[in-house]
Amino acid sequence: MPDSSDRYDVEQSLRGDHDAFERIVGRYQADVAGRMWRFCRDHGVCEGLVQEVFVEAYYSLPSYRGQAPLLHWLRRIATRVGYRWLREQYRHRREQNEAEVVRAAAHQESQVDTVERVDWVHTMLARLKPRDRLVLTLLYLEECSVEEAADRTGWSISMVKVQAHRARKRLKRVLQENETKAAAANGTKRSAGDFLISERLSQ
Amino acid sequence: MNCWERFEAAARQASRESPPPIDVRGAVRRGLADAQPSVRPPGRSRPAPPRLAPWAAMSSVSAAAAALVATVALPIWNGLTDPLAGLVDVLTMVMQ
Repeated sequence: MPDSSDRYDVEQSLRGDHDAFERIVGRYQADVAGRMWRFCRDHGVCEGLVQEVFVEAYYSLPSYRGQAPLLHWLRRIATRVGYRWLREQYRHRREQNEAEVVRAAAHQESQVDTVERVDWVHTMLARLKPRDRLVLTLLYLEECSVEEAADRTGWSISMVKVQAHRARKRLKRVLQENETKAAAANGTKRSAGDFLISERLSQ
Repeated sequence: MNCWERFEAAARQASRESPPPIDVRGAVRRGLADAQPSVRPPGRSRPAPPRLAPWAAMSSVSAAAAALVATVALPIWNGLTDPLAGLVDVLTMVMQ
Protein backbone atom coordinates (compact mmCIF):
# COMPACT_ATOMS: atom_id res chain seq x y z
CA MET A 1 0.00 0.00 0.00
CA PRO A 2 1.31 3.49 -0.78
CA ASP A 3 1.92 5.77 2.18
CA SER A 4 -0.38 8.70 2.77
CA SER A 5 1.94 11.31 1.25
CA ASP A 6 2.28 9.23 -1.93
CA ARG A 7 -1.46 8.73 -2.13
CA TYR A 8 -2.10 12.44 -1.67
CA ASP A 9 0.51 13.43 -4.23
CA VAL A 10 -0.79 10.90 -6.77
CA GLU A 11 -4.33 12.25 -6.37
CA GLN A 12 -3.12 15.80 -6.75
CA SER A 13 -1.01 14.88 -9.79
CA LEU A 14 -4.06 13.29 -11.40
CA ARG A 15 -5.75 16.66 -11.06
CA GLY A 16 -2.86 18.22 -12.97
CA ASP A 17 -0.89 19.55 -10.00
CA HIS A 18 2.73 19.56 -11.17
CA ASP A 19 4.02 20.54 -7.72
CA ALA A 20 2.65 17.30 -6.31
CA PHE A 21 4.31 15.30 -9.05
CA GLU A 22 7.56 17.17 -8.45
CA ARG A 23 7.45 15.98 -4.85
CA ILE A 24 7.11 12.39 -6.08
CA VAL A 25 10.09 12.91 -8.41
CA GLY A 26 12.15 14.35 -5.56
CA ARG A 27 11.29 11.43 -3.31
CA TYR A 28 12.17 8.64 -5.73
CA GLN A 29 14.60 9.98 -8.31
CA ALA A 30 17.68 8.69 -6.44
CA ASP A 31 16.34 5.15 -6.39
CA VAL A 32 15.31 5.27 -10.04
CA ALA A 33 18.68 6.80 -10.98
CA GLY A 34 20.42 3.88 -9.25
CA ARG A 35 18.45 1.43 -11.39
CA MET A 36 19.05 3.28 -14.62
CA TRP A 37 22.74 3.68 -13.87
CA ARG A 38 23.16 -0.10 -13.96
CA PHE A 39 21.67 -0.13 -17.42
CA CYS A 40 23.68 2.64 -19.04
CA ARG A 41 26.52 3.82 -16.76
CA ASP A 42 26.66 7.22 -18.40
CA HIS A 43 25.69 10.35 -16.52
CA GLY A 44 23.94 12.11 -19.40
CA VAL A 45 22.12 9.01 -20.60
CA CYS A 46 21.14 8.13 -17.04
CA GLU A 47 19.67 11.58 -16.51
CA GLY A 48 17.68 11.29 -19.73
CA LEU A 49 16.38 7.85 -18.78
CA VAL A 50 15.35 8.93 -15.29
CA GLN A 51 13.48 11.85 -16.82
CA GLU A 52 11.81 9.48 -19.28
CA VAL A 53 10.76 7.19 -16.43
CA PHE A 54 9.02 10.02 -14.59
CA VAL A 55 7.36 11.47 -17.68
CA GLU A 56 6.06 8.01 -18.54
CA ALA A 57 4.96 7.56 -14.94
CA TYR A 58 3.05 10.85 -15.04
CA TYR A 59 1.04 9.82 -18.07
CA SER A 60 0.51 6.31 -16.68
CA LEU A 61 -0.72 7.54 -13.29
CA PRO A 62 -4.37 6.73 -14.08
CA SER A 63 -3.37 3.08 -14.36
CA TYR A 64 -1.75 3.09 -10.89
CA ARG A 65 -4.24 1.28 -8.66
CA GLY A 66 -2.50 1.98 -5.37
CA GLN A 67 -2.29 -1.69 -4.40
CA ALA A 68 1.52 -1.80 -4.33
CA PRO A 69 3.87 0.91 -3.05
CA LEU A 70 4.48 3.66 -5.57
CA LEU A 71 8.20 2.88 -5.65
CA HIS A 72 7.54 -0.70 -6.84
CA TRP A 73 5.36 0.64 -9.62
CA LEU A 74 8.06 3.17 -10.59
CA ARG A 75 10.68 0.42 -10.64
CA ARG A 76 8.59 -1.57 -13.08
CA ILE A 77 8.38 1.48 -15.36
CA ALA A 78 12.15 2.00 -14.93
CA THR A 79 12.78 -1.60 -16.00
CA ARG A 80 10.60 -1.08 -19.07
CA VAL A 81 12.40 2.15 -20.00
CA GLY A 82 15.79 0.51 -19.37
CA TYR A 83 14.88 -2.47 -21.54
CA ARG A 84 13.76 -0.16 -24.34
CA TRP A 85 17.09 1.63 -24.12
CA LEU A 86 18.97 -1.70 -24.22
CA ARG A 87 17.15 -2.64 -27.42
CA GLU A 88 18.04 0.69 -29.03
CA GLN A 89 21.65 0.22 -28.00
CA TYR A 90 21.68 -3.29 -29.40
CA ARG A 91 20.60 -1.97 -32.78
CA HIS A 92 23.40 0.64 -32.72
CA ARG A 93 25.93 -1.83 -31.37
CA ARG A 94 25.80 -3.87 -34.54
CA GLU A 95 27.76 -1.05 -36.12
CA GLN A 96 30.44 -1.27 -33.45
CA ASN A 97 33.87 -1.59 -34.97
CA GLU A 98 36.49 -4.20 -34.27
CA ALA A 99 38.83 -1.74 -32.54
CA GLU A 100 36.36 -1.38 -29.73
CA VAL A 101 36.17 -5.14 -29.31
CA VAL A 102 39.96 -5.40 -29.07
CA ARG A 103 40.01 -2.56 -26.54
CA ALA A 104 37.43 -4.41 -24.44
CA ALA A 105 39.62 -7.47 -24.58
CA ALA A 106 42.55 -5.42 -23.34
CA HIS A 107 40.43 -4.15 -20.44
CA GLN A 108 39.68 -7.70 -19.48
CA GLU A 109 43.31 -8.61 -19.65
CA SER A 110 44.56 -5.76 -17.54
CA GLN A 111 41.84 -5.64 -14.82
CA VAL A 112 43.60 -2.68 -13.30
CA ASP A 113 41.02 -1.16 -11.00
CA THR A 114 37.42 -1.31 -9.93
CA VAL A 115 36.24 1.25 -12.46
CA GLU A 116 37.74 -0.72 -15.31
CA ARG A 117 36.42 -4.00 -13.98
CA VAL A 118 32.96 -2.49 -13.84
CA ASP A 119 33.51 -1.12 -17.35
CA TRP A 120 34.45 -4.60 -18.43
CA VAL A 121 31.25 -6.06 -16.93
CA HIS A 122 29.15 -3.58 -18.86
CA THR A 123 31.13 -4.13 -22.06
CA MET A 124 30.59 -7.87 -21.80
CA LEU A 125 26.90 -7.47 -21.05
CA ALA A 126 26.56 -5.11 -24.00
CA ARG A 127 27.50 -7.98 -26.32
CA LEU A 128 24.37 -9.88 -25.35
CA LYS A 129 20.89 -9.56 -26.73
CA PRO A 130 18.70 -7.05 -24.83
CA ARG A 131 16.62 -9.79 -23.20
CA ASP A 132 19.71 -11.59 -21.88
CA ARG A 133 21.27 -8.35 -20.79
CA LEU A 134 18.13 -7.30 -18.95
CA VAL A 135 17.82 -10.50 -16.94
CA LEU A 136 21.52 -10.56 -16.01
CA THR A 137 21.47 -6.87 -15.09
CA LEU A 138 18.56 -7.50 -12.75
CA LEU A 139 20.04 -10.65 -11.20
CA TYR A 140 23.70 -9.66 -10.94
CA LEU A 141 23.89 -5.87 -10.94
CA GLU A 142 20.68 -5.07 -9.12
CA GLU A 143 20.93 -8.29 -7.13
CA CYS A 144 17.22 -9.01 -7.51
CA SER A 145 15.81 -12.39 -6.55
CA VAL A 146 14.10 -14.40 -9.29
CA GLU A 147 10.73 -13.34 -7.86
CA GLU A 148 11.71 -9.68 -7.89
CA ALA A 149 13.02 -9.97 -11.44
CA ALA A 150 9.72 -11.56 -12.46
CA ASP A 151 7.79 -8.74 -10.84
CA ARG A 152 9.94 -6.06 -12.48
CA THR A 153 9.80 -7.55 -15.96
CA GLY A 154 6.27 -8.86 -15.89
CA TRP A 155 7.55 -12.33 -16.82
CA SER A 156 6.64 -15.51 -14.96
CA ILE A 157 9.13 -16.97 -12.46
CA SER A 158 9.86 -19.97 -14.68
CA MET A 159 10.36 -17.63 -17.64
CA VAL A 160 12.96 -15.66 -15.63
CA LYS A 161 14.74 -18.89 -14.67
CA VAL A 162 14.84 -20.16 -18.25
CA GLN A 163 15.93 -16.78 -19.59
CA ALA A 164 18.64 -16.48 -16.93
CA HIS A 165 19.95 -19.95 -17.70
CA ARG A 166 20.19 -19.19 -21.42
CA ALA A 167 21.70 -15.75 -20.78
CA ARG A 168 24.41 -17.21 -18.52
CA LYS A 169 25.28 -19.76 -21.15
CA ARG A 170 25.60 -17.08 -23.83
CA LEU A 171 27.61 -14.83 -21.55
CA LYS A 172 30.03 -17.63 -20.76
CA ARG A 173 30.57 -18.08 -24.49
CA VAL A 174 31.16 -14.33 -24.90
CA LEU A 175 33.65 -14.35 -22.00
CA GLN A 176 35.57 -17.24 -23.52
CA GLU A 177 35.67 -15.56 -26.92
CA ASN A 178 36.88 -12.44 -25.21
CA GLU A 179 39.70 -14.32 -23.52
CA THR A 180 40.77 -15.72 -26.86
CA LYS A 181 40.73 -12.24 -28.39
CA ALA A 182 42.69 -10.85 -25.44
CA ALA A 183 45.33 -13.51 -25.93
CA ALA A 184 45.49 -12.72 -29.65
CA ALA A 185 45.70 -8.97 -28.94
CA ASN A 186 48.62 -9.55 -26.60
CA GLY A 187 50.35 -11.72 -29.14
CA THR A 188 50.15 -9.11 -31.88
CA LYS A 189 50.60 -5.37 -31.83
CA ARG A 190 49.08 -3.52 -28.90
CA SER A 191 45.84 -1.68 -29.51
CA ALA A 192 45.37 2.00 -28.71
CA GLY A 193 43.15 1.15 -25.73
CA ASP A 194 45.72 -1.24 -24.35
CA PHE A 195 48.35 1.45 -24.72
CA LEU A 196 46.23 3.91 -22.73
CA ILE A 197 45.76 1.38 -19.93
CA SER A 198 49.49 0.72 -19.78
CA GLU A 199 50.12 4.45 -19.62
CA ARG A 200 47.70 4.78 -16.74
CA LEU A 201 49.33 1.87 -14.93
CA SER A 202 52.77 3.35 -15.26
CA GLN A 203 51.66 6.65 -13.66
CA MET B 1 39.79 -18.06 -11.21
CA ASN B 2 37.95 -18.78 -14.46
CA CYS B 3 36.31 -16.16 -16.61
CA TRP B 4 32.85 -16.71 -15.11
CA GLU B 5 34.11 -16.30 -11.54
CA ARG B 6 35.95 -13.18 -12.64
CA PHE B 7 32.73 -11.88 -14.12
CA GLU B 8 30.76 -12.58 -10.94
CA ALA B 9 33.35 -10.83 -8.80
CA ALA B 10 33.35 -7.79 -11.10
CA ALA B 11 29.53 -7.80 -11.21
CA ARG B 12 29.45 -7.65 -7.39
CA GLN B 13 31.64 -4.56 -7.57
CA ALA B 14 29.38 -3.11 -10.26
CA SER B 15 26.32 -3.67 -8.09
CA ARG B 16 27.91 -1.69 -5.26
CA GLU B 17 28.69 1.24 -7.53
CA SER B 18 26.60 4.29 -6.65
CA PRO B 19 25.34 6.57 -9.41
CA PRO B 20 26.31 10.25 -9.53
CA PRO B 21 23.72 12.57 -7.96
CA ILE B 22 20.97 13.35 -10.43
CA ASP B 23 18.19 15.90 -10.11
CA VAL B 24 15.59 15.78 -12.86
CA ARG B 25 12.80 17.63 -11.08
CA GLY B 26 13.22 20.74 -13.22
CA ALA B 27 13.59 18.77 -16.44
CA VAL B 28 10.51 16.66 -15.74
CA ARG B 29 8.50 19.75 -14.88
CA ARG B 30 9.62 21.49 -18.06
CA GLY B 31 8.85 18.37 -20.08
CA LEU B 32 5.34 18.20 -18.66
CA ALA B 33 4.80 21.94 -19.10
CA ASP B 34 5.91 21.75 -22.75
CA ALA B 35 3.44 18.95 -23.36
CA GLN B 36 0.70 20.80 -21.47
CA PRO B 37 -0.98 22.69 -24.35
CA SER B 38 -1.59 19.52 -26.29
CA VAL B 39 -1.81 16.98 -23.48
CA ARG B 40 -4.30 17.24 -20.64
CA PRO B 41 -3.50 16.11 -17.09
CA PRO B 42 -3.40 12.34 -16.71
CA GLY B 43 -6.60 12.18 -14.68
CA ARG B 44 -8.53 13.51 -17.63
CA SER B 45 -6.34 12.09 -20.34
CA ARG B 46 -8.09 8.73 -20.45
CA PRO B 47 -9.60 8.09 -23.85
CA ALA B 48 -13.32 8.86 -23.88
CA PRO B 49 -15.49 5.74 -23.76
CA PRO B 50 -16.66 4.77 -27.25
CA ARG B 51 -20.14 6.04 -28.15
CA LEU B 52 -22.28 2.94 -28.21
CA ALA B 53 -25.70 4.48 -29.03
CA PRO B 54 -25.27 4.64 -32.86
CA TRP B 55 -24.00 1.07 -32.92
CA ALA B 56 -26.92 -0.11 -30.78
CA ALA B 57 -29.44 1.63 -33.08
CA MET B 58 -27.87 0.17 -36.20
CA SER B 59 -27.84 -3.34 -34.76
CA SER B 60 -31.53 -3.01 -33.73
CA VAL B 61 -32.53 -1.98 -37.26
CA SER B 62 -30.45 -4.83 -38.65
CA ALA B 63 -32.07 -7.37 -36.30
CA ALA B 64 -35.59 -6.15 -37.21
CA ALA B 65 -34.82 -6.44 -40.94
CA ALA B 66 -33.44 -9.94 -40.44
CA ALA B 67 -36.58 -11.01 -38.52
CA LEU B 68 -38.82 -9.67 -41.33
CA VAL B 69 -36.86 -11.52 -43.99
CA ALA B 70 -36.98 -14.72 -41.92
CA THR B 71 -40.80 -14.45 -41.52
CA VAL B 72 -41.32 -14.13 -45.29
CA ALA B 73 -38.68 -16.65 -46.30
CA LEU B 74 -39.53 -19.49 -43.93
CA PRO B 75 -42.88 -20.58 -45.54
CA ILE B 76 -41.31 -20.31 -49.01
CA TRP B 77 -38.40 -22.39 -47.86
CA ASN B 78 -40.72 -25.03 -46.41
CA GLY B 79 -42.44 -25.27 -49.78
CA LEU B 80 -39.13 -25.74 -51.54
CA THR B 81 -37.86 -28.45 -49.24
CA ASP B 82 -40.20 -31.09 -50.79
CA PRO B 83 -40.61 -30.30 -54.56
CA LEU B 84 -42.40 -33.64 -55.26
CA ALA B 85 -45.09 -32.98 -52.65
CA GLY B 86 -47.62 -31.77 -55.30
CA LEU B 87 -47.10 -34.89 -57.48
CA VAL B 88 -47.31 -37.29 -54.53
CA ASP B 89 -50.52 -35.65 -53.36
CA VAL B 90 -52.16 -36.15 -56.80
CA LEU B 91 -51.00 -39.80 -57.02
CA THR B 92 -52.33 -40.52 -53.55
CA MET B 93 -55.70 -39.05 -54.55
CA VAL B 94 -55.80 -41.18 -57.81
CA MET B 95 -54.89 -44.35 -55.94
CA GLN B 96 -57.64 -43.79 -53.45
